[in-house]
Amino acid sequence: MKIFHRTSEDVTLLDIEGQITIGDGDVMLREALHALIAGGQKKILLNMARVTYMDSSGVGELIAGLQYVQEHGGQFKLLNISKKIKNLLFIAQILSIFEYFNDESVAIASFS
Amino acid sequence: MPEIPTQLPREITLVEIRFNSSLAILDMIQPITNKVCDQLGFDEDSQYWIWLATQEALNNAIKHGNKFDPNKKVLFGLQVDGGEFRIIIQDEGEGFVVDEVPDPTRKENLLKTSGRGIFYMRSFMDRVEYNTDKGTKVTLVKRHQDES
Repeated sequence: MKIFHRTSEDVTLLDIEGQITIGDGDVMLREALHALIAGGQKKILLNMARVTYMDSSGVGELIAGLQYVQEHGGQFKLLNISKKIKNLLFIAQILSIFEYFNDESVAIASFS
Repeated sequence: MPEIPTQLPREITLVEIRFNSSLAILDMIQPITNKVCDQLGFDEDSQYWIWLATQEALNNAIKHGNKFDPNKKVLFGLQVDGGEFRIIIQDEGEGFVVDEVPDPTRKENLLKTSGRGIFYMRSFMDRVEYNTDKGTKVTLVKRHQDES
């Protein structure tokens, strides 16, 4: 998995490329989020357009990321989640805990 | 020269691999699993979910069963029996009581960051069987249409 950083206004976008699975991407995602919070960046948008696959460990990392950012007074939102990943979150009844968007400009504007 | 059959037999163990407790093996097992799924007539979406269930079972065997112990092996098998495709994963761990695994969709468990592997296996397969007599043996079962 690869993570590319960019910013738009005061929102940090993480463009994820590859898969988020046990041993491949889960720890990397966690470390990226912790580094952003440590650096004072609290508006985080995870762009998952190029996430090809995610398992239950990846799902767990999304939940952990959401909780970690919120515990530090930040906002964590998802962008461009695929139909299959949405299904994974939906059937586990956790899709509703995330704010997710299909349009980047709308997502960025949603950060208050 | 004998004719090479192009279709899968009705009842047979197609694949049996015993490997060390390393997640790196998954990259080798995935194309084998997908190839068999393809031959059995599963479409792309079905292959995706079958692999997800398989990967969850393999993750559990390596992580929770064998606890990444390189001296312990995981058995991986693919079987076709009539209209059923069976994926067998057996570890050398201490086993567990599957009924004691918390339901991740209960309100108090929704925000937990782990514990969804078995739930996903059950969601995407027709049947999931457990045998904990010797390690944990998980059998993932999916019915297929290609019974020729």
